[in-house]
Order: sequence, then structure tokens, then C-alpha cells
Amino acid sequence: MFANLRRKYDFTDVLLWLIGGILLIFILYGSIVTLTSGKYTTAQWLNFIVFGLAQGGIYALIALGYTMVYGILGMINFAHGEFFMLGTFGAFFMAEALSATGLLESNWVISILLMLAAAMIVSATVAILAERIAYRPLRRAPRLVPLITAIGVSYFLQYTARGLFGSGVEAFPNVPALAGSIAVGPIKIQNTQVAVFIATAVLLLLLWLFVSKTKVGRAIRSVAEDKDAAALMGVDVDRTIAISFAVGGIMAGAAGVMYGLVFRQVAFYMGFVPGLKAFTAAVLGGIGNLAGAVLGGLILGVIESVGPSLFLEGIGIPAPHQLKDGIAFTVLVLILIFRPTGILGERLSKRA
Amino acid sequence: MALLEIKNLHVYYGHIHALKGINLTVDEGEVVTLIGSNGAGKTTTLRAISGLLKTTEDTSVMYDGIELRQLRPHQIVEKGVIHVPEGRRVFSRMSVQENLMMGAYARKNRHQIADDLAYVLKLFPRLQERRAQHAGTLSGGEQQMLAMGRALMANPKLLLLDEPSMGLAPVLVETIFDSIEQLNKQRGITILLVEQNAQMALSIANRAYVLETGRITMSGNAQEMLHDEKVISAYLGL
Ligand SMILES: Nc1ncnc2c1ncn2[C@@H]1O[C@H](COP(=O)(O)OP(=O)(O)OP(=O)(O)O)[C@@H](O)[C@H]1O
Ligand SMILES: [Mg+2]
Repeated sequence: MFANLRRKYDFTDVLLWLIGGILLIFILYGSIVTLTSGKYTTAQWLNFIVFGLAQGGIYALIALGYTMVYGILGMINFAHGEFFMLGTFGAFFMAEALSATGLLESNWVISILLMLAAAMIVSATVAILAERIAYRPLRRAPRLVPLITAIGVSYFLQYTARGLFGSGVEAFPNVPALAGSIAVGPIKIQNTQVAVFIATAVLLLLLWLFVSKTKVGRAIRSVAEDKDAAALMGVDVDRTIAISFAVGGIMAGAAGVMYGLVFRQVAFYMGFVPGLKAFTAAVLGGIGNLAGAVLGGLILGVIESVGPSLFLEGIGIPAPHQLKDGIAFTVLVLILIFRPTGILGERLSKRA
Repeated sequence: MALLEIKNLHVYYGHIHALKGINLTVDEGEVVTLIGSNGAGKTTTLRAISGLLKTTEDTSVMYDGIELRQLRPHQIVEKGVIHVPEGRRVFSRMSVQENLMMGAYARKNRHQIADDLAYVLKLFPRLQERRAQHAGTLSGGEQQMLAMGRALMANPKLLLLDEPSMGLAPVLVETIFDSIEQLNKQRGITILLVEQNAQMALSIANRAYVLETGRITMSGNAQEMLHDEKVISAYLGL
């Protein structure tokens, strides 16, 4: 009987399942301990979830860029987090200028629209340039080459930002109109979070309309499925790929504004961790799948926000919230073990 | 008058010299077929014409007074040279309707597009029934009809067909060849047809070329070739 089992699963498979199983047992055990101890009220849990959804909306916007580029080129653009970082700087300088002219106090709607415009233009421009200069010449190269190049682009952009804007953390200007919070029953929602929800929902709707209903969206889908066939339909493949990068950049820029509003800071290294988490979100949802990126972002945001109190405190970890980032990467490992295709995804192994 | 005039076409895949100086012309209104066995270079020829492959500097591909070698694939499509690739290559994740609209991607005039859509759906009623269905779930024959219909949506002047009969049941092969003839006669579309089914191809073509390992070894009137000893023994399998 054991011989039979051994033939079916090799040693590493068993080991991975064992690791996964142990992690799951810890998570379940911790959750039960916390829930039975009654340390947190329902309202507190709901607040965690709302916070997680706001954070997850930001991940979702960034994850869309990873997933679009993956869908169209089969490449993981590790520089995408830096597009987000540079967009946040774009929003930051716009906010500073608006604050200096007083518009940030007097007209917050226009101010946020201007910040969005600045961030989106910066991120999209950088995305287009990165594609044109670094990735396009490598389109026929073996898979590993663009991947390594992307890491190079990532460092290049990070240290360019460091050189230009310094290595410190800058405080993002306050938008007074978004300072308070509203109460929905027992839940307290920050106004900035409300803004994130609305903006994210609008952007996702626009993106969905763009991809599914417009001619350019159809061109993007055709190039993602079969580049030669798309070219034979009269689609300019190079231009369409550039547009996909630009769209990913636009979403990353929007995420930058949200990030600035919620966390009120910018720094040259800030693209790295959210970038990795958005990548995790894209894999969680099923990389290459737009709806998956959104779902993955929201789920990851909630797991991260609920997780430390729910299962880390339960197993007696002293400072659970310090381990928030660890949760995201544990999630990544668990998906890669148990469901490498992600929630909504098709095959990953075939391409990456 | 020659609509397409290829001179000295060379294509390399790395060190493999796949096409070794092909000369070929297609006159306006003609059906010309290019026959040859597996690996002869038929697909390579069509991909070189539509700009998907790089050709050598001394190659010339003149179409309607334009050197196609200078253009990118989507620009060649805009000139009216439409290529139905080997293996159909329909967009499986799009609906039949969306695939047909992809065919009209380079066109602007909505009325003409609507007229052509009506024509295609009349030519292939099967597609009409399955407009909302994902193309990936169509049968092989239906996919071939879709690939042809999609090409017609581009309003082709020169249609490049790569083995439209591949993998189809004999009845369907008849249907497809009937529609090819109809397109040529009724719509005046010039056709360059690549086939392994030499019998069928020669029966509807005006002229034919035989391709063997990257070289044209024979050319001439299609009817005469149907009765040529060498062609019969090599390609008609009698
Ligand atoms: N991408 C490629 N890389 C290397 N060699 C190739 C490539 N594509 C085709 N070839 C080679 O070029 C030659 C011609 O191939 P081509 O596909 O044009 O043949 P074909 O006449 O269309 O054959 P079939 O009837 O089987 O479709 C073959 O020897 C093939 O192996
Ligand atoms: Mg072929």
C-alpha cells in the first residue's frame, strides 16, 4: 500500500503538503483560541474587515497591472511596484502644489482628481518607457531574461527615485475634507477609506467596460490569446502591448493616490512590499485573470488585517501585528502548494 | 495584371534555409494554389507574405505596386491582404460574434461592416446559430468557417488560405471549397490557396505551383497538372 502511495506522490509533494497542513492546523487552532476567548467584539472584527477591504482595494489596483502584463506577455513585471511608487510621488508633488495654493482645503474633489491625473500620467509614462526600452527588445528572448531585466528595472527606478527625492520618508499632505469618519451601525469607516472604496469601484467598472466592450479592449484580449493571429486581424501588436502597460500604470497610479491618502507617506522604497503583495494577490486570484486580481487583492487585504488578531494572537505570538507581512507570504506559499492556478486561474506552470 | 509578384523569396529559421528563392505571381481575379508535402515551406511562404516572418534583403514581395517587405503585419492587412492561418487560430476565449468583429478590426465604415457581416452569416448559416457561443467550443469545421468568415470581414482583395481542408470530413471539405469558389467568382477576391489536398485544390484553381523543400519545382495550368504524370504520382496518390 505504501509502495503505491510512494509511486503516486514524490517526497517533495508529501513534504509540501505536510508543511501546508501544519500551517493550516496552526491557523485553525489560533482562530479557535481567539474566538473562544472573546477578546474582540463583533464591531471590532467588522472594523478589521473594512480596513482590510480598503487595503485590499489598493492591492487589487496594483495587482491588475501584474495580471494584465502576465496575460499578454507571460512575464512577471517585477518593476510594477515601482510604477506605483513613482505614481505616489506624482500625487505627492501635486498635493504639495495644491496645498500651497490652498485648493486642497477649498476644493477637495478637484484636488483629488488632479492628484489622480498626476499619478496616473507619471505611472503610465514610466510603464510605457520601461516596456519600450527594457522589455520590447527581449520579447523573443528566453523567459528568464525579461524576468531578470524586470528586477533590474525595479532597482533602477527605486534608486533613481532615491537620487531625485531623497532617502527619507515624506509626509503626504492632509486633505482636510477627508479627515473624519462615518459610522455605519457599529462600524467606523474613515472618510479616506470611503474615498478608496468609491474610487476603486469606479476604476474597476471603467476597466471592465474598457476591456470587454471597446475595440482596443478586444485588441488587448486578442493579443493576449494569440499575437500572430491578432496581427493578421490588423492589430498593431506592439502598440497594443504598450497600451496594456499604460493601463496597468494608470491603475498603479490610482493605487498610489489611495495609498497616499490612507497611509499619508511616500518614500523611494515604498513600492517593494505592496508590489510583492499585489503580486501575491494576483497569484491568489489566478494570474492573468482580471477579476481574479481584484478578488485576490480584497481577500489578501482582509486576511492581512484580520489574521494577526485572529490566528497569530491565538497561538500566543507576542507582537502579532508586526508579522502582518509574513501572513501575505505565507498565503503565497500556501497557494503555490495547494492551488497553483489561484482561485479563478488557469494553468500557471505552463507559462511562468 | 499581377496583383502579387514574389521574386527571389528567401527565409531562414536560424540556420535552416526554409525557402530558397521562390518566384511566384498571382494575377488579379485568379485562384492560384501552392501544393507540396509536409515541410515543403508552404506555410512559411504565406507567413512571409503577410509580414510575420523576416525575409532576406534581396527578396521582393510586390503587391498592387507596394513593397510589402517594408510594412508591418497590421499595415499589410490594411492593404487588403488577408491571411487565414494554418490551424484556424480563432480566438477561443471570444464569442463567434467577437471573432467576426476582430476580422473587421482595421475597417471604419460601419455600414459596409454590417453588410459584410450579413453576407458572412448567409454564407455560413452555422455561424449565425452560434453567434454568442465561445469560439473555443466550436467543432473543427465550424472553426474553419469562422476563420474564413473572420477573414471576409476584413474585406480582402487578396486572400491567403493555409490548408482550409485540414482535418475536415469530406462533406465539409466540399462546403469549404464551394465557398472558396463562390468568393472568387461572386466577390472577385483573388486567392492564393495552400493545400495538401492537391486534388481539390487543383480542381478549383486556375494555376498551380508545386513546392518541394523550399523550391518551386513545377508550375502551370491547374487542369493540366491534374493530368500530369509526375503530379499524379507524387501528390494525387493514385
Ligand atoms: N519556427 C520554425 N523554426 C525552425 N524551423 C521551422 C519553423 N517553422 C518551420 N520550420 C521549418 O521550415 C520548413 C518549412 O515549414 P512549413 O511550415 O512552411 O511547411 P509546410 O509546407 O507548411 O508543411 P505542412 O504541410 O506540414 O504544414 C520545415 O522544414 C520546418 O521544419
Ligand atoms: Mg503548413
